[in-house]
Amino acid sequence: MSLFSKKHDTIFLYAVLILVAMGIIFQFSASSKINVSSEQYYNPNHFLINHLVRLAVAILIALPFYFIHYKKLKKYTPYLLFITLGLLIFALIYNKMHPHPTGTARWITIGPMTIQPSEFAKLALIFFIAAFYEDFQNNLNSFAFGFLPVIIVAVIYFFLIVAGKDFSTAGVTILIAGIVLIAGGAKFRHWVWGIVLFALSSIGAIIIRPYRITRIKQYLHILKGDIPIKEMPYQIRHSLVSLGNGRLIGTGLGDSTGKNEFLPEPNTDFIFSIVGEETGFLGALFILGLFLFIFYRGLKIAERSDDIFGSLLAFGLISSLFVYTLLNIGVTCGLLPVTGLPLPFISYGGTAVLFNSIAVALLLNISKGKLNNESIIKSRIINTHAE
Amino acid sequence: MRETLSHIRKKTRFISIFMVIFWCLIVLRLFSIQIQNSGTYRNYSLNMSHKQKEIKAQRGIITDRKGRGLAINVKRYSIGVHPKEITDKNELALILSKYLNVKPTDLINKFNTSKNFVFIDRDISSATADSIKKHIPCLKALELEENIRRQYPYNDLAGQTLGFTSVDNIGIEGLEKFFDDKLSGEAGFQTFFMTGTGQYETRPNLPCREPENGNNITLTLDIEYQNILHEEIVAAHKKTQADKAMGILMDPNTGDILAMASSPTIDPNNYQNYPAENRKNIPLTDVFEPGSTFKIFTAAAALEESIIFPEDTIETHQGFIIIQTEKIRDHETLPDMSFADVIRHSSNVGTIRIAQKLGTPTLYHYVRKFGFDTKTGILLPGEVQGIMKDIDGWTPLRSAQISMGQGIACTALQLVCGYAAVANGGILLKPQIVRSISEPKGNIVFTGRTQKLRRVISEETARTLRGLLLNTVEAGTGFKAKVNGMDIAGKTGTSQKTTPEGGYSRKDYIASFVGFFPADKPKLLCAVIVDNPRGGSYYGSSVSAPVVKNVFKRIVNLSEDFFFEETSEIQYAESPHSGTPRLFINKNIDDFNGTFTMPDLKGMSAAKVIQLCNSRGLKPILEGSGKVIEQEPRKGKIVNTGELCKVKLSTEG
Repeated sequence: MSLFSKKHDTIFLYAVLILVAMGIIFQFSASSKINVSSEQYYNPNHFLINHLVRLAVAILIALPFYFIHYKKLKKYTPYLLFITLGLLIFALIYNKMHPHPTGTARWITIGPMTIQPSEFAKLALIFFIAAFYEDFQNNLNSFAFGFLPVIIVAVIYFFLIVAGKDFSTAGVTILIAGIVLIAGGAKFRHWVWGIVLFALSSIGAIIIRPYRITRIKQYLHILKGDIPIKEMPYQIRHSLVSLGNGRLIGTGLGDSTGKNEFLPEPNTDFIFSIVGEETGFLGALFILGLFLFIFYRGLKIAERSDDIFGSLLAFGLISSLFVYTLLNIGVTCGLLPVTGLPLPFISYGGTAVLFNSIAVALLLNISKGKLNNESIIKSRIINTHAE
Repeated sequence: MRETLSHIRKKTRFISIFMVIFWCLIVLRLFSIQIQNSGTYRNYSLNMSHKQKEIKAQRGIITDRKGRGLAINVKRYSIGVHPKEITDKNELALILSKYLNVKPTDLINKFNTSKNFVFIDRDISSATADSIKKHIPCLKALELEENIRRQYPYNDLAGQTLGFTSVDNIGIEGLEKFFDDKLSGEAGFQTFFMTGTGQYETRPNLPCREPENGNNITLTLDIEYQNILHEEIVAAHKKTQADKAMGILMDPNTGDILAMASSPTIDPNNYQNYPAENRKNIPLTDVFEPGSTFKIFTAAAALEESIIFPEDTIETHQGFIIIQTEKIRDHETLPDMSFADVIRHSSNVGTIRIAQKLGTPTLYHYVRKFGFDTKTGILLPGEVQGIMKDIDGWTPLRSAQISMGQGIACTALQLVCGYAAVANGGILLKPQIVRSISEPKGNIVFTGRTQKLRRVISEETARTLRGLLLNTVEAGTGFKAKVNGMDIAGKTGTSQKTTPEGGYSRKDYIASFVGFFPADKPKLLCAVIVDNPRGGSYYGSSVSAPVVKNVFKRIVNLSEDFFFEETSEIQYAESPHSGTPRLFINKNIDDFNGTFTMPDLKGMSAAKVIQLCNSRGLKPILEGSGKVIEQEPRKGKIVNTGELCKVKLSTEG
């Protein structure tokens, strides 16, 4: 306890740790079958062990983000920005030279490690927006100096990630950037441009690939529930079947049917279906509740922060975690079209684990910072009363 | 600064509301999936992952009356390869060829295919399969699949009666067909968990049902008797170059069919290799005009109705009689003779004269009473009822013809049943082929009890008729069935085959003989019918009678038990303990001249030994009392008539 002082938000940390623990359990259950049936692994603990190793490494890397005060970290924002930009570009070049079998260009392989620069890009962008708004408070009303620079950086990142064929991460990155922009005080009139841009790019996306219309139609049918199970697209079908098979209390830990090579990506994108199948509606509700609670605590951390940078950074990070949660679970229950986004703390995936750890470390860091100035709060309350 | 912070706070709360709304939507959506509509999803999940596999029931086995398996199940294996998995084709082909009796080059040709799987042999024994499993490397490329196959260990013995099953183990002929629902049992199932890639896995607590194996059937057939009848029928068929030959061996007291043979034969193990014609169980599916063998029924009617007595003289009109312008002849001109001699010499004219005295309605009545023109109801498929005109069609000429076995067609089985009534004292029995049907655990669910259909003639009439038939063999047309020491009774028959134009053929005949023995208390009844014998004699007396004789002789030779069931008849003149006893035996079979194989006497009583020695012409020398413990000559030795037979008896053990 001497190392991790009580000054940070302990309840937030415990809530996260419960999720991480559940993630370990479900990582083991969800990947047990694909481990054994795949000749590549043939070890029922393959993904579990890797997951644990990644967690350990991620926590180690995240430690500085906890210990170094976030205000001191702020000055590294430009470096972070340039490094991630460099990594994104490097990933593109790297994958040109070493084409990935699936055609995607989002990873860089370094020895046994693969990293996904887009996750860092997200972190850098949140840092950048938070720092920008603290430093240029007075420019907020100006479109050209308050809004445009941020948008330009975000769009550059967006297109670099899109070039790596990672559309969902690109979308989420721009979404989170937008959320932080709104929170930071971007004027609504500036946003009209953003909405117009979004509408145009959506229409453009449909024109380039007309089959997307049928996809959207199909998705609307699933949403309405007037399509027979067997006519649903493969991934959604098995995700819904797994969830439905869980009913109220679930089939029991380890007893999912879907994980037996029915459900695609059972330990990453669709791990929530396994959770819902093995622990039922109650288990799913518990996890959802935990996420909501973490979001609530994160929000509180952001609100309690007494500087714009800390507040926006905390809000950006917790929003990012919660948006990922909502998008991932929204996909598994058929509310959203299929994207490839992981469920924070539960899904397998090194870079995501790293981002989540850093995010949690920073949030704890920010919560700590608030508690340091406890006396100021008290005096402020007294002042308010005096007025 | 503070203003900005509160501004940010407002905005973050504003944004958070949207997120929380979406969170609520997710909860509602999950409620809909996991609670409201969970049934549909759960069913879908069960259907996609639970697959039922049938477990075949074992087909019941068919045994003879002594429990020897006639139709059994054996484990066989199919062997196939996944050519893409083979590491060294030449090596595998070389090793496999040693076990499978195939050329290595042929195997390599089979391996060189684009298919994922090829069968090499679909019928190998479990021993071969085991040694292949043990000795072959690269097992991954091989696939051995177990199948249960029907096997008939006695090959073509009773092939038509047993019938056979299709590849799917469904009975398609004979008993296999007739009792298919009893034999087949009920398949069970096992539920497997099937993964998304189609692999089957066993999991606990999945629904399953054990298969119910089929019922076992015990037949009245005795495979040893069947073998004798079969060999004799096949030999006769071959020797006479006939179209076909058939025979039935029956216990006339119970109606049990002990053997039933048809030639040409069929081996149910590979029935595909035989013409479809061979599948017919001709003793009950084919009809023929019985000819003179039928005369016994005319005689039975006349005796039962007291129209005539054995000593009465019958006029024979110099060997012919004219009815409705049709001239019917005897095969030889005989003087007027007694009724007994009419049967003994098988006189057509004499029989017709008796039938005329009897009158058509009475004759018709008796023919029907003896079971002609009616299916016997034997539990076998394909039986026919024969061909006989209704009484309105019995003109005087037809009536006369029928009295001597023409103008009526019957099955061999009907003929045998009629004779059985004569042999057993006047009762028409339903022929039995199934002795019992039992469940796999042993509970008997059906017993083939002797079924008396009706009394046809009185015991007195039956005894008289047996005397007449004994005479026929002893000193009449059936003399070729005679065996000294065995009182065989019987009747021959030689009928012209009908031509397609409706007349009678001058060169195609059916030779038949029905005999039973011992004449006064018959235990065995045998009918042999040879269809269209060529290249020599075509008479029933010379073609069929010797076959029956051989069958009877071989059966008696086969089993010393045959005569010993009623040992009480044996009387000792002195105590068996003192020296060599003298013995009075009713039957002295002296036809066993020459050599025979010494049977195992161990455990026999003194009386049995003496009786056996007498029947084989050996001179018994007994030592001690009780049961036989030692014998000389030893079991299996070839001995000659007149040799000594020393046995040592002991009361212990």
